[in-house]
Amino acid sequence: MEKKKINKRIILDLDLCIGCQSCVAACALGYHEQANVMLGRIGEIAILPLHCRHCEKPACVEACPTEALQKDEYGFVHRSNLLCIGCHSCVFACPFGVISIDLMKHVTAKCDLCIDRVLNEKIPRCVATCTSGALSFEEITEASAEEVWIGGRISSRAIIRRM
Amino acid sequence: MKEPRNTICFFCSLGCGLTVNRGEDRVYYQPIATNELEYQLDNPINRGSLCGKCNYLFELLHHPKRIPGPRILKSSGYRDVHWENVTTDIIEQIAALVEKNGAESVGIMLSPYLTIEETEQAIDLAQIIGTPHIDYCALEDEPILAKIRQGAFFQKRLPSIEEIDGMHTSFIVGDVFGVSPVLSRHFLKAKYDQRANKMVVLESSNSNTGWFADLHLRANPGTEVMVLTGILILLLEQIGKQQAIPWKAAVKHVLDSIEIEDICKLTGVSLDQIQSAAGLMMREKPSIVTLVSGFGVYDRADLVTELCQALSDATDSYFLPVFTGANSLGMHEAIANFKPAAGMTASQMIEAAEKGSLKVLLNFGVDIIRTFPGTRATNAIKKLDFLLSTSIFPNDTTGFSHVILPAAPWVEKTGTTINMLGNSLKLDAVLSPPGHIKTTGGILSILIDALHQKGFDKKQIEPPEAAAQETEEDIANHFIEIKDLIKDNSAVESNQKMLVPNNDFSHSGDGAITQYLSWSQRMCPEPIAMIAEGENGVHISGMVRISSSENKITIPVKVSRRAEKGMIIAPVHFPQIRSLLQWEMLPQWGYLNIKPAKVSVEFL
Ligand code: SF4
Ligand code: SF4
Ligand code: SF4
Repeated sequence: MEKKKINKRIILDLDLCIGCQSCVAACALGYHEQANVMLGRIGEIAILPLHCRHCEKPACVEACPTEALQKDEYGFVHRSNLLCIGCHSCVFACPFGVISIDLMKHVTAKCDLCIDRVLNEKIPRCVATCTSGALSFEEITEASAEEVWIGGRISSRAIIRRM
Repeated sequence: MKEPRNTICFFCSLGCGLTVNRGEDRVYYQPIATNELEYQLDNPINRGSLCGKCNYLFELLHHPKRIPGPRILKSSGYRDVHWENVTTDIIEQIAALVEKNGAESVGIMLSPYLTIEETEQAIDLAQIIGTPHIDYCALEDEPILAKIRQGAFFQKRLPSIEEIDGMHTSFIVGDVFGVSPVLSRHFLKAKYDQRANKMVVLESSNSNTGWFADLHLRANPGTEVMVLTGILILLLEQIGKQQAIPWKAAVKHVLDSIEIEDICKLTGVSLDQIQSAAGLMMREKPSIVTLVSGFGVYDRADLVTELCQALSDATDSYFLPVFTGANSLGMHEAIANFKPAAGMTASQMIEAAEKGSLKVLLNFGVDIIRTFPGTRATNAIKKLDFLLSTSIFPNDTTGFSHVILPAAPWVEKTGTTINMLGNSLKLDAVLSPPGHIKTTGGILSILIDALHQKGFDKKQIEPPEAAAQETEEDIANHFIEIKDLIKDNSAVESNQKMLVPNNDFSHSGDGAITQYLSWSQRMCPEPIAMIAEGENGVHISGMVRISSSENKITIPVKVSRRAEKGMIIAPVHFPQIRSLLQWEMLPQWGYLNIKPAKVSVEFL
């Protein structure tokens, strides 16, 4: 099978998120037994899920001393459990702060975009379960790329409207 | 072979669809593996969405705390027994007590999470025993349902949930995203689809729903009736000239005698806001009035229901009631068709047990102690001669039961339910109950068969009287009640606060189940009260002693933007919090009016 680069990413529309954490629940129970979506809290003003953006030039991959983190053929940033030594370099390297420290397993947790589902033409769990429709799994076109990579559209029509 | 099976979520009355890919060949206690839960992206109700507690439902299946088999209370404590022995024991006890005290000393209480089929079986059981006392127990839904059934006003039912997506004005009473988060998908679609679409929310605290409102009517706790009356007064002034509304003449003289300035003063909602709300309701159609049930949120939920229906009637909007109990609507109809006038409601059964006239309670799935406000229910069930409880997990009520029978949650059941739209939906068991556990339906058939063998036969019980059509005079009378309520409301004294219950959705739904889900525990692990910044000098967190007329408790408190001044918000699914609320029976209806309580608060 030819491995085709998958150019889709999870996009969050801040206008819609109601902070219900169903995305966290789906990720935690459905697959990883630990949640890879984290909820950012802006005081008590807003609560929003933070996802791995599977960056073009991922800082976490560069920071990882063991090659546990790699950008794979599909274009996803992937982590091999067995290679991870739990040094937390990636946690500090990620500019979006989406890799969490999972103390129990002594390795770090990392969203893999539900690759098991995406390769079977299904959408990621957190996107499927999102109660408000705030999360979507979209093709990144050239036009939208800039917005998404720099984080503008992970956002919304009005950035952080909850004030 | 794995065969995907479709079922619906039974934690609330929306009925979101989900698919389970788990074959019967799987070992029961194997943890859920990848791909076993599938989201139904084309389901018109939820388009794949499920809220957190539903995502966690598989935890139930191999939960270590589940009651594994029947238990009987002996002098030495609870003993595990076989089904045959327990059935004989139950039947003998019931037979002896019916002989001694009469069939009317027996009550049957049902949780609103049973299927229609199970409800019908329970009605059969009532007929065989010969008692008219059977009721579902959903205290927050009951006053709403009672009013909807009476059909006091013309009611416009929504044809489908998707219809919400196109509403120009959504008028929402209560925290809808809190009770059924998946509805946010539809309400927010309506809100953002067109610039002019508006969401009006009537709610006292700054909940998630209020957050999204274009117009948030932040009424003082328990004053929803007044705000709605105010809106109706303004609407009638405008509409009255153009069209005739059948009940208008009857209520007009009542409404005319209410001063809108009084309403503004008592509710804390300005005349401007009431006018805007009325204006938005008069705009281009379609629009919708949504009433969300909540425990202890409204003062006189029945009148709030009446007014919401009047509002939808006057503005030709849809009316959507959102219930907490998954099958409250279906069970309400089934029981109302059977229940004779003499039959008691769930709350009346507890009062009868307190007085000693109810001796036997057959309780199918209700955690009575966790459900009722105050502490009266606890004392009442201690007085029973015989209490049978079915339950999935041990709870406060099973601790006082003479017999405990292990029941199955909805994932292990097949049957029919009626959702909030009045549509009937199918539940399909995605697994069979493990070991000695049976569905409530299974338990009911065992009991019915055994009673037949003991010589009990179905008795004719007087059918209910057909509900009389409400006359204009009746309707006017309700409005007089509303008028009294507006006069009666005395302001909170300076050292008091209003205790506003928070119906946290991670715990709403079948509370007997959700308290055992790790997700719910993570979301709200302990009762923490919320107050507004700077109240009584508290800036981050602390401890607080809350005393009401019913009880006194000490819990942690934190500052939150959810609360307004003069308010203390607390998660109501915890029994401590419920114990503060007041037992207030409305004798003519037989259900409780559970309203925000006035409490005194002492910061420690
Ligand atoms: S895509 Fe999958 S792994 Fe990544 S956050 Fe969503 S549910 Fe978790
Ligand atoms: S499920 Fe959707 S609405 Fe809920 S917290 Fe996640 S992104 Fe927000
Ligand atoms: S609890 Fe209600 S909103 Fe949540 S998944 Fe179940 S039916 Fe849908």
